[in-house]
Amino acid sequence: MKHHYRRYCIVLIIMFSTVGMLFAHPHVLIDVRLLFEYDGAYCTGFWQEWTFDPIFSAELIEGWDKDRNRTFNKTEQQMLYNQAFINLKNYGFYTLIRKGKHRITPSKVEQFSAWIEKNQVTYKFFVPLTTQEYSYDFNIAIFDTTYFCAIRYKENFAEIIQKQEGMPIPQLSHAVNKNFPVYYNPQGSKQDMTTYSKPAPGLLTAYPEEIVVSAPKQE
Amino acid sequence: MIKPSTSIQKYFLLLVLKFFLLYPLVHANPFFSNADRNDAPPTPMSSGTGPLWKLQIQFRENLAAVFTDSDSQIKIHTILIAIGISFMYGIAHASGPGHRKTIVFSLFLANKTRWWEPLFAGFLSALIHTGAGAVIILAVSLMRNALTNTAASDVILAWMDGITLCLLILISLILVARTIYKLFHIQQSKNDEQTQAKSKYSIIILASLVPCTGTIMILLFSLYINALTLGIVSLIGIALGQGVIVSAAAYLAWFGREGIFKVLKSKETTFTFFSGILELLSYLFLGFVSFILAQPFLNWLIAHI
Repeated sequence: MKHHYRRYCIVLIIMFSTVGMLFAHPHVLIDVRLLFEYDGAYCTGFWQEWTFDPIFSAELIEGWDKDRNRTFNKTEQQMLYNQAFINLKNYGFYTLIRKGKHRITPSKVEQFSAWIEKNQVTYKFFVPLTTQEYSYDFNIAIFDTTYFCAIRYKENFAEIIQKQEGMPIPQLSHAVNKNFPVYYNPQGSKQDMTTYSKPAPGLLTAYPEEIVVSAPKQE
Repeated sequence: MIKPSTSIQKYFLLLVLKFFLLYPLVHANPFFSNADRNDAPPTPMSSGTGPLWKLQIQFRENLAAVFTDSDSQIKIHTILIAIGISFMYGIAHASGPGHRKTIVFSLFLANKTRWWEPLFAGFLSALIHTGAGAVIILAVSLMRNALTNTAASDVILAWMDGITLCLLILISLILVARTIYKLFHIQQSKNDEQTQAKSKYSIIILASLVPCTGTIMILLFSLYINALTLGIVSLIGIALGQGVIVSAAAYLAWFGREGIFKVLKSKETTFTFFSGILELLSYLFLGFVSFILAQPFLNWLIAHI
């Protein structure tokens, strides 16, 4: 009988723990593409292009294409920026910039624009980088720790724009980096924008896919 | 003369209205609202990663394609495809956090029920959960005198979620007290079983009243592109898919409970005692989970009162 008690206690514990198991819960899908701007050997910043899924796009079109002409004019783009974009500042624009062990999120972005193509809305904006700090050895991850958005990279995930003719073009690749995870609170609300740099009780670990910028191939 | 209970209800209603009127209907969707404001309650929500999110996104994209590719004369096969995809989406989506699986699970662990009840409760919960989304859209659209969006509906959802979770904490505390009293004082009667059944379904209905953003977004999408028939059909499909998952959670508890009591059946005293302990643990679990989920809402509420 004692043996049975023990067995069923284990069954109970397993039942309680499995039912609360956490899986993803994204409501918006973003397809991302980055364009890195180089002035010689230094990256001055990068453009981000976010293309939203048709369901969320329909909401943006319904709400902000006021004249229903399937384009966002300047006024509409300004409204879109104020009402359906800039709040992402609280989420670091879902952008994680890592150089070595040091990871930051941008505090500002510039030159926002938006357009509609085949029922899908695309946002484009520029993330400026500090002069002469980012060269050929940094990583960018576009990742939402609140999991409201599922983010994936487009097939042509990134490009380099070199302003100085004849200067080398850095190499680009993307991969999941198991050495630099992101820690997040699974019980946090959608507004919980805390980025944790160290593991702690209650936090879960995620390994975002990073775009790796590395030195140009030696000729 | 106003009865005391009526005045309490009025006070509560005024308090809720005060918050709705003072705090504009903006915020929960991370894209929307003003970055410098934080004046709407946070949506209690768990998040994480796992194998199903890619599948979920795939079904969602396929569903959107069915909506946009259909012409004004919707054919029967388009409806069947929409139901099929939304059913699978419902399964994948309900496998994620939320959707009251834990609540249904703990209730079926607490009480002895007939074999079909987990199935019934699962689908009842999923249908209310999905149907509530349509009601919210209708209500908010009427309030705004225009078609709503997720920014507005999310705030209503956050309030509903927060309030129902607080009520669930209160109910589980009452049930814990009642179970402790029963454990030490009286034998269970037929009336107790009926009361248990009533309270179980009341909790399920109350907890399921909060709709999920996923279904709201799909219904809104159908309204934006004038495909309401497909929207309604998809909602039914999603509800059925979610019903499968919630029922599975309920059956997990049901089979577990049945298995445990099969072993204890021969010893009546142990059986009654263990039944009481399991009931107590289940209600404690229900209260604990509700408390954890309600924390962002409670913190926000305390900071703003």
